[in-house]
Amino acid sequence: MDKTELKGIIEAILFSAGDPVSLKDICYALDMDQKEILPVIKEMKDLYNFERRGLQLIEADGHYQFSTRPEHYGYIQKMHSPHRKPGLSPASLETLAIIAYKQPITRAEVDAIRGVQSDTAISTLIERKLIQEVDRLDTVGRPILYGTTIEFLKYFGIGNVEELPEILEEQITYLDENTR
Amino acid sequence: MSYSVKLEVFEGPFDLLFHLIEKNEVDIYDIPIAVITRQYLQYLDGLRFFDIEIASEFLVMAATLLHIKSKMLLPNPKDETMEEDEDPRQQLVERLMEYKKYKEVTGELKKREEIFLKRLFREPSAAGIDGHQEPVIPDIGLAELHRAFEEAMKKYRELYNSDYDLKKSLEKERVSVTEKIKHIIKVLKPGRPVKFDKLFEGFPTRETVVATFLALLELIKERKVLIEQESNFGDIIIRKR
Repeated sequence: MDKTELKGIIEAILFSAGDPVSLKDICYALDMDQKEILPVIKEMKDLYNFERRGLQLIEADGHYQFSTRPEHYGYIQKMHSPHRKPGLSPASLETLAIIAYKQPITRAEVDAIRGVQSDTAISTLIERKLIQEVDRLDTVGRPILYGTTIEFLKYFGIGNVEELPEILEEQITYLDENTR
Repeated sequence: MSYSVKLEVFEGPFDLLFHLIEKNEVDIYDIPIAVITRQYLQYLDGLRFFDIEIASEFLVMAATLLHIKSKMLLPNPKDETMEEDEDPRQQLVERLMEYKKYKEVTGELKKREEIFLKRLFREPSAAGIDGHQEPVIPDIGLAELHRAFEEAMKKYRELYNSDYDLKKSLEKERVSVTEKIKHIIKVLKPGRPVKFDKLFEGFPTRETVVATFLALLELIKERKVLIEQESNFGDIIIRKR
């Protein structure tokens, strides 16, 4: 199979799925190795960006999906009002920031940092699929440990979890330097 | 020094404390505890709490501040067990700093949210299997409508054997919440959200709206539906779970 056809198939898979598709699933469909597929996907991604196409290939934790570009939003909105989720409330965002950076973390720990109860914020975040239960702490009451999801990465345009601490760390180091 | 309470919404006691520290332009590592405590308490006085949960969180902080203040006022008894003179404010400052980190990160996330919410995705389609079609509105003219009306009246006369004598008094409509719950469930199809005001046909009575709203609340409680509202007084969008 030549590369052009391979790209076509991958494109077809991603288009028809709508949802993020894992690299593993793409490999399974093509009956090929990740080593063979990954460079092709990367090439596609670069090509879409280079040609500044209306669609881009986004990655979130080893999953791939097409999306439009933020800079085109104004035009799309003019045409038809797309269903756009409302942004998160300050309380939910604050809670999410703490969970993202300190994951896995219990609700009680989040409460302690915020100085207020976070149950409403946490249930909103679960409902929006931005966080999930990742484990339970091996202590009295076996409290739930929360962590972020693929949806979370997509939501903030972060490619994978490794990038996350970096983004936030930059901010925090900057802060530490400026407040001390 | 006068301090006017603005009705701002604070995320919690830390948020309020930060606001006061910034407002007074004081060093976070050397908080003038008396001043800040007084302003903090003034702010609490200006609030009419009705949520005991939130009120208690603010009150705990008030107690902490007063405790620190009293510790700083009282001469330190030479306590041999204390290894060194710890600033009574230290623990509070540490927690404040920890909170501040995440508050700033929250700002960063907010910025990213604004950008990346502008990316649109295709809805998952399961390869078009559950693709639905909008119902087609048939081409109906005035003549057809008139004919339909005559037809209905004919049936009515046959049924009641009366000549155009429609009932003049209208009975009060009885609306039950149970009925409305059934209605909402019937109207909602998976993957097809419905706007709240689309649940009514024609001109709904107040009773109907109230009953439907109660029905909706009940369904949310039973975790059968999800609702979204983009802004205050915006459309309420209902989805099937």
